Amino acid sequence: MRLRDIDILSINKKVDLTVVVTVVLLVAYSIVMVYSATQSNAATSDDPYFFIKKQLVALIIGIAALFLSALANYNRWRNSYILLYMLNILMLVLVLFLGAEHKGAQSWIEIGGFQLQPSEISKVLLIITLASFFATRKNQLVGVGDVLLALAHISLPLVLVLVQPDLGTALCYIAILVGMMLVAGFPARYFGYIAIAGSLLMLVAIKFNFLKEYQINRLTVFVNPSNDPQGAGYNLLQSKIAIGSGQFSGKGLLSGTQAKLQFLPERHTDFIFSVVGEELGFLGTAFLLILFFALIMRGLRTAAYSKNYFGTLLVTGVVSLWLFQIIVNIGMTIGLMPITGIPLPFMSYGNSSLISHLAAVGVLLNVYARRYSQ
Amino acid sequence: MGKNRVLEIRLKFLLAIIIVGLMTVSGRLFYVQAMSSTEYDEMAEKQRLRVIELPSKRGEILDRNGSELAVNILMDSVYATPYLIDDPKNFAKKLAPILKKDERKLLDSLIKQSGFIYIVRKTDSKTLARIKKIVEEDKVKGIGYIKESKRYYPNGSLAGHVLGFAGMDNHGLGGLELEYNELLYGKPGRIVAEKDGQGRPIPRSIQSSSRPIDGVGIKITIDREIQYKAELELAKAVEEYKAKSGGVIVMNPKTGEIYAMANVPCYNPNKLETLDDTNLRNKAITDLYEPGSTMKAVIAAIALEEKVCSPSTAFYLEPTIRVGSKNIKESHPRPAKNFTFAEIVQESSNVGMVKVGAMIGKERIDEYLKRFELNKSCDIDFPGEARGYYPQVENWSKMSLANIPFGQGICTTQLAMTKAMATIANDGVPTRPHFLIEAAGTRGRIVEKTEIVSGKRVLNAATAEQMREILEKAVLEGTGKQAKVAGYRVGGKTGTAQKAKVSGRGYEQGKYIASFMGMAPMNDPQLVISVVIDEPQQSIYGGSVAAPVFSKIAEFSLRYLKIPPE
Repeated sequence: MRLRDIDILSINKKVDLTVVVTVVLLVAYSIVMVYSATQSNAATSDDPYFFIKKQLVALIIGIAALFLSALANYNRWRNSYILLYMLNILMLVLVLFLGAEHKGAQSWIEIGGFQLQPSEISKVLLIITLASFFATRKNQLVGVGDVLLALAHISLPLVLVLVQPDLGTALCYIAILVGMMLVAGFPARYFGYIAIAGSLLMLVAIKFNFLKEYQINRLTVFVNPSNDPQGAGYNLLQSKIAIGSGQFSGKGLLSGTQAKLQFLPERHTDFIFSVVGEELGFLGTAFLLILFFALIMRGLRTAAYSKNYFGTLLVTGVVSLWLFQIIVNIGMTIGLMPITGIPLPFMSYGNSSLISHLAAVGVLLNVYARRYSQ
Repeated sequence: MGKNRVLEIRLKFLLAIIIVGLMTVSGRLFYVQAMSSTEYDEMAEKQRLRVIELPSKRGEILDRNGSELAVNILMDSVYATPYLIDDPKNFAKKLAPILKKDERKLLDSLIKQSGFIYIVRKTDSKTLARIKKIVEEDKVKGIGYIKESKRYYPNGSLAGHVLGFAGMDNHGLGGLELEYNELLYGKPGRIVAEKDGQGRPIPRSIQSSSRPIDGVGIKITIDREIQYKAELELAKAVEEYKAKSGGVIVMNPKTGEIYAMANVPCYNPNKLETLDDTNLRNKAITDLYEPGSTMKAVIAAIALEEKVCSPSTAFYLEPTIRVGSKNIKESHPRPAKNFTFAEIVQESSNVGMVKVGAMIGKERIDEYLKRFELNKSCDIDFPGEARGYYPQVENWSKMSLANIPFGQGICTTQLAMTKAMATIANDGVPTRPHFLIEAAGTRGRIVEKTEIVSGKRVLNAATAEQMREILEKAVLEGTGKQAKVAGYRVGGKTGTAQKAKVSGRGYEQGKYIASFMGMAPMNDPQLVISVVIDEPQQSIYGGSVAAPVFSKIAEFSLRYLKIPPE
């Protein structure tokens, strides 16, 4: 990164204000909701701002990351994508050796009281390297060989996150790949092949007990959570009760009984949306969805306006990631999707998650800003 | 440019995915939050509130003299907060042999997502000590001990069928414990508090609370001493004659108070785990039987009341009598003989009663059976009383009119027959049999009290008097000689009834119910005592099997109640 890459003037003129305002609102919304959701946590019994403080530190780092990814001309990233890819792999390997185990998964590296989750960061890195890979092979991406190469590209990080195990991130990788392939011009039938291959893989995994029973339960229980209200269906049922009992206008901030009384699990992380639903009702969730919709639409617009193919692919990756995470996360809280442990972008408490999504915003702004210049 | 055109189509496709995805989510959200939200709201409310019950003290049951029949003792219960137990597997393994429970089931309950489970309730101090030892040695967390009150019957099986029993949660499940459960149980207090996801109450979140209101004690008509004697003598007779079962009722004919009600075989309500389901009924009240010859006292009284006969009316009786296609025999065969009306009752002649019955006529018999309320229940304060039964008078066959006068073809309970006998003893006025004397609250406040209810007069006092003279003679000279009591004039009627087949028509060969229903002292009857013995072996006659039991119980009771000898 060299100083002359930073082109402040052009950013000033060409910054996408809608995106900036939306992201500011989302982050502010998140901080309020995380504060409300963590008021009954053990860690907050001494310090009610325990989680907020950590998230604010992450916000500062995230804003720095945003500037970093927004200011440097994205076109240069293509040149060093091999390096970025190796950095990504290195991070994911390191976490397996140095990582701290938490809730059965080895996904965090402890750095001075701050937990870094490489798999979150790796999503953004993968968007950059995959977009670079597709861009370098422009106009050739039609054959089966290209599909296999693209699969190979994501398979190494995919295997590494599955070892942690972090099924959620693995699914995010696939979402990024599918989104980009869609825009990169693969014939439609390839998606069919991938779907079939994926299903077969799933069947094999279940057949040979590769997935543990609790994982299968978690993936299927969303169809009827009342079957096992105390076990696998517990989270979903509690989440639906929270969202449903919020009704139209909610129980009020800090007044959600489901969250306060700890019926709702993971309320500040994966199930933050349920807290929004309970405390702010349909008004609150609809407002949140509007913010997400605005952000994604601006992303799509940026992809269309991008000066070059690489920019389009980058933004497509970002949009695919967000869309996937938003739909899967909200879907799981209301019983449309299985519970997979995918956080809600910007909203869920999670330092690495916030940083990487802010970096992704930077990518978006970067491409937008350079939509006319090379 | 073609290339851009393709890209645009593809981006539009992505847009379509975005819109479909977000619309689905919003639609579902609207459904959950706006359409079906009340349902979720109720679910949230339900799991948020926790009701803690504060048990009330169950009222005691005392006999008529204030002796304790049912009391409460404090027993030890052990409970657990499952999620606090670190090693439920090990704990279940060690606990299983002590509690004699299945280890798997125990473990299942120990890993439940619940804030509270009972490990064992109302156990003895030995078991408690063994559990405590494990808890201390293994430092098991989340175990608590409480004292709970348990129903205890200090006299063991005495009056077990009358008292019934109360279950683990202190609710009456049978007998008077059930009948008066509402009074005895009181009202438990309630604390409604908010709880968290682990079921722990939230401090300062009490929504409402009420103190427990202790149950009210009841005093019943049973006399412990008479009850004891009745059970003792009945048990002896049942054993001696290898009978299936037996029942005794001792009743005050003037008030309807039941002094004793014995059932053999008896059961011990303190040992609920050993109870035999088939022996829980208080058969004297709940089971119907054909009363047999004791019914002759009722029919004879009707004949006297209606002046169809006088005690000295003369009858010539063949050894048997033909009714329709059947020959009715005497239970003690005899040659053809001249009998007075009184002698028919004293000697318990079936042939004579058939004739008397025919003289009264079925309409009048039906009318009086209804006045004696043999077609009804006695409305006693006891659960599960059976209602007497005989055919509608329009449907009486020739056989009905012949059978009913000697007590076949009609079903009553022992209690209803005893009440009919008590009506004769009480100068023709029936009284309602009952158990409750009064229910008194903590500071002696009377909550409920039984009023002595006299029914509509059935017989004239003079008729009743005449009838009693005949019954006295039945003991002095007739079939009931073994019912005699030294120093007192007693009267009564024997019964030897064939048992009807449980299924199908007709009677069981060789199966009888021997009974005796009598009263004493004859100048002013204070007691009516009925003895019914089911399927005695060796001897089958009421006069030889049941009458001696009457004699012993009557003798004891008369002396115990300090009724002056005549």
